[in-house]
Amino acid sequence: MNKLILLLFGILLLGIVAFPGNANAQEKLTANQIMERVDTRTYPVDMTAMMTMNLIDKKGKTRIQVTKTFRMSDKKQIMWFLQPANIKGSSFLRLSYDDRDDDMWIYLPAFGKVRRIASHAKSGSFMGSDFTFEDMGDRKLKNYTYDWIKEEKIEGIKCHVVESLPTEDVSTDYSKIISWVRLDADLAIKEEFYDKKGNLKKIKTVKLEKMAKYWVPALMLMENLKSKHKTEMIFSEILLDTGLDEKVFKSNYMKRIH
Amino acid sequence: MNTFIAKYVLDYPKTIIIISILITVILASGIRNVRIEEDLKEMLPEDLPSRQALNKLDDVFGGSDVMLIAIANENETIFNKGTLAKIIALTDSMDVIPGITKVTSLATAKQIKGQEWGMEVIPFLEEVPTTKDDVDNLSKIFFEDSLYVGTIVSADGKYASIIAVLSDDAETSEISDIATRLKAQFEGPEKIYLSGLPVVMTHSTKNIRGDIQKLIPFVLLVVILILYLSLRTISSVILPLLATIMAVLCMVGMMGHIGEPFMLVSNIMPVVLVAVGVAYGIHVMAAYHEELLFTSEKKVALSKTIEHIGTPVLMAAVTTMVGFLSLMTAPLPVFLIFGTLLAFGVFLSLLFTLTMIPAILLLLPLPKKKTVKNREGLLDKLLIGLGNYILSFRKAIILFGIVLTIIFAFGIPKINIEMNPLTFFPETSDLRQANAFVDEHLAGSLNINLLFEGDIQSTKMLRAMDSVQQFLEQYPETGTTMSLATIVKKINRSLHADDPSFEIIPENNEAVAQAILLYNMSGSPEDYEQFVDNSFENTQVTALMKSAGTNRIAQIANQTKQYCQDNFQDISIEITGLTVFIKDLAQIVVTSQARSLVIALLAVALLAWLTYRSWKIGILAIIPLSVTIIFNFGLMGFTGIDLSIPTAMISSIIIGIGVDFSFHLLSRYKLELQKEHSLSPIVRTIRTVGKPILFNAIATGFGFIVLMVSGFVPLRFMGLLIFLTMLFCAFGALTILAASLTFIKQNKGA
Repeated sequence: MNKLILLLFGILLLGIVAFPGNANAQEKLTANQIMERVDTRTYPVDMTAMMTMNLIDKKGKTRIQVTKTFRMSDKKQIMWFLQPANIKGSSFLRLSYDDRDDDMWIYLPAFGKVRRIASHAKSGSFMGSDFTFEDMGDRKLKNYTYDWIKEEKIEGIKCHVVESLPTEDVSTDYSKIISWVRLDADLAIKEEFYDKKGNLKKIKTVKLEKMAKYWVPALMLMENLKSKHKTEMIFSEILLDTGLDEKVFKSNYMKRIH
Repeated sequence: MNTFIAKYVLDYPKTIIIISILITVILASGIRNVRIEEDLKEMLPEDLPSRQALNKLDDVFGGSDVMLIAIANENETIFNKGTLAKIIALTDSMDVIPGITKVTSLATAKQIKGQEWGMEVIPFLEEVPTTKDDVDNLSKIFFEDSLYVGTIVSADGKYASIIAVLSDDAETSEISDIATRLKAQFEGPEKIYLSGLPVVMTHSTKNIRGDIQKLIPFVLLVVILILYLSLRTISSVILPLLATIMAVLCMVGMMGHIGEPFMLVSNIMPVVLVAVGVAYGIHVMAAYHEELLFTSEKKVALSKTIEHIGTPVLMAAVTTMVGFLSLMTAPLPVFLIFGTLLAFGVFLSLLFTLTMIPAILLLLPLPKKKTVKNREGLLDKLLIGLGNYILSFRKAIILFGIVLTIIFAFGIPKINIEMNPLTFFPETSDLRQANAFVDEHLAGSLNINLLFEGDIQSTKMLRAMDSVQQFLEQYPETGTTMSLATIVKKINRSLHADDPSFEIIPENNEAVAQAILLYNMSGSPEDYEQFVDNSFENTQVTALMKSAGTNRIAQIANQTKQYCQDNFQDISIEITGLTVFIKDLAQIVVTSQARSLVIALLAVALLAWLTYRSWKIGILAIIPLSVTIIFNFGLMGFTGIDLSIPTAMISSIIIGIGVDFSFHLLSRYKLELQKEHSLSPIVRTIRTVGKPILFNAIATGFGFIVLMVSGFVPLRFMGLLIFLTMLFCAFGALTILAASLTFIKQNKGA
């Protein structure tokens, strides 16, 4: 009990210390400049990792999926399912383009078929998780207008809070996204997604890790506020810039785990 | 004991009054805690398998109650811009209501479409189509995709429905109110109907509240009138009424103290207690006025009153309590509460009548002497005539009684058991009309849920689900069935270039899991989260059924259960849903009804045996009751009055109250046997006791007839039936019992 009070007190104190407006911001950046920095941040040329996905329902029941994933820049991605056993060998390939919608394929060994996934399936779930394809892809800079809201610290890290509103003809599931961008990494570590009716629908939080000169996500958590379902993506065995061969990102490579 | 009461009460009248008031204040203080239980499922025992299965279902899927909004556009079809816009707006409005976990309609449903290159999952109606071609195209696509035809849009296209699933902790009445407002907002030219259990529950809450507000003043009015007509002094009206009202306040307060809510059935408890309790006051007041003819000493008259009337009133109350308590043996919580609390109320009513009324009378000035004699000379003559008639034709009367009993016994098998809560409402009510509409044009709104447990992503499990669905769909009452199996079949078909022959469960478990993976990637797991839990361990098959008679519903539920047992012994399948509840209720009510009846009859016979020290009298006492019960059920069978939860309790009430008539007759007869008189003892008995018995029957009967203005159909019939059976039972005591008694005497004399 005493410990609890102490803890609460500590949290309160932390809040007081952390929140008085840090007026000593180096230079004032506009919302657009911030998001431009995010868009043009330096990517690893390629990345290999194991991704463990915990699908957690509102009662805390968890289902685990494990994939091996290869990425090249932010344009190409292939992943093979390792777990659970009944989908082992299934794979997913995604190719992104600057000027058109992504191409996506899925390979299902039980049917022996590679199938395309319709590009308009943006609201489709990424591997049955709370992340949609839209959440997993990068947003195109020009598709949104930005507004700077405030500065706020998250776990002691200073963030710029930026509101993104989609422009007229962008196909998206969301009416508004609010991002907490940390400028030392040029990445958002928290995002709130609002549905078409303006209600807060999902919250994403990201744990970043610095590897060599890159900031890479080690953990991403997406919570669906309506279904109270959440998905945790944990990246491990991360290897960067190993010189992956570009030909891996082809559909014939989907049928065999690399 | 009577002398003891008389002495104590009359020595300390003020203490008695103060104690009575204190008891009332303390017990009645619970009234503010009394609430109304709207959830009809609360009527079922907690340990019933179907209720436990439902709790589990609610636990896994977050709720299972379904509310249905139906939109009709009978002039054209729902496929026009205006109606489609309303479907979208209604869906969106329902979706944001807290407590609604899932809304399914044309605006949320998705089409699973196989393409050469893969599979597409496309929402049917994301936004209102702009051109006529788009509208026509939507209609064409919808009817090609057979998955939802008849469910969210009727086969003729004239009707659409929006199906909302409520969470288990949803504020049902609030949601119902919002839906009612939405209906008003969007109605015209389209017609809008609200249906489903949540709507039924909201209506029943309103009816329960309405009944309490309407019936209590009404029954008080009736009782005041009867009291005045039979006793004709102000104090004889006020005092029995006061004792009864205090007992009612205590009983209702007790409900609050022990946390029991008013539900359908228990909402009439105050009315029943008033109708039953006031009779004790009548007896005391009548006896007091009679004693005053011989003395002007209040205390003497009162102690004589208690001595004379104490035992019969006590016996009447005890037998009534036995009748009510016999309901305790029923496994239905609502019967238990009804029985015990009413027995408690009767006890208090007796207590106040035998103590507080004399105490107050002692403190009141002596009433003016009345010399109303032989005003009922006609009735006296009639009763003597009746007595003589009975004596002369006693064999014929008994034979007539037997024939009548046999005739009515033939009605019993014709009784229709009806437990569907919907039938508790009048056929003209909006609720019934909406339901009839949904049954006729859409899938219906009674659900069966089958809960499967195990490895859901296996062909074995999905094939079992698919077979159960096909089994259910062979019934014409089945509107539609849905499950993960339905979706997996559709995916399999789309993976095989939309070839209909592939609309089957895939060959192996891997294929199942991968089909689901594909769907996840193309659509969203949210689309089927109402069918499967996150860990793929629990899943449900839901079927929407059209309303049918309880017998038919029970048949379908039983056959489905049997089918599961015969074919899938190794799979854990639990069956639940409103349909199964109705079946279980019917079973419970019928068996418990029979049990309470036998127990109450035996208890009453035992009481009569102990009181009159003769087992023959014990048996005779229950003869008018048995005949009355057969008359009651026969009448129900012949006239088509349904046996439902309220009407099932009638026999216990008849036994509890009706036996009083037998007791009055028996005790008087015993008394008259010892006297020498020109008239035969049975004639004298009928002449003296006939009047109070008839008054009592009329007072109680009219108290119950108030129920005919209840908002619930079965309560109306209950009121009518108790009214009729009270009169029948009184008459039975005065004829059949009286005639039988004459034979006993001969046997004894021989």
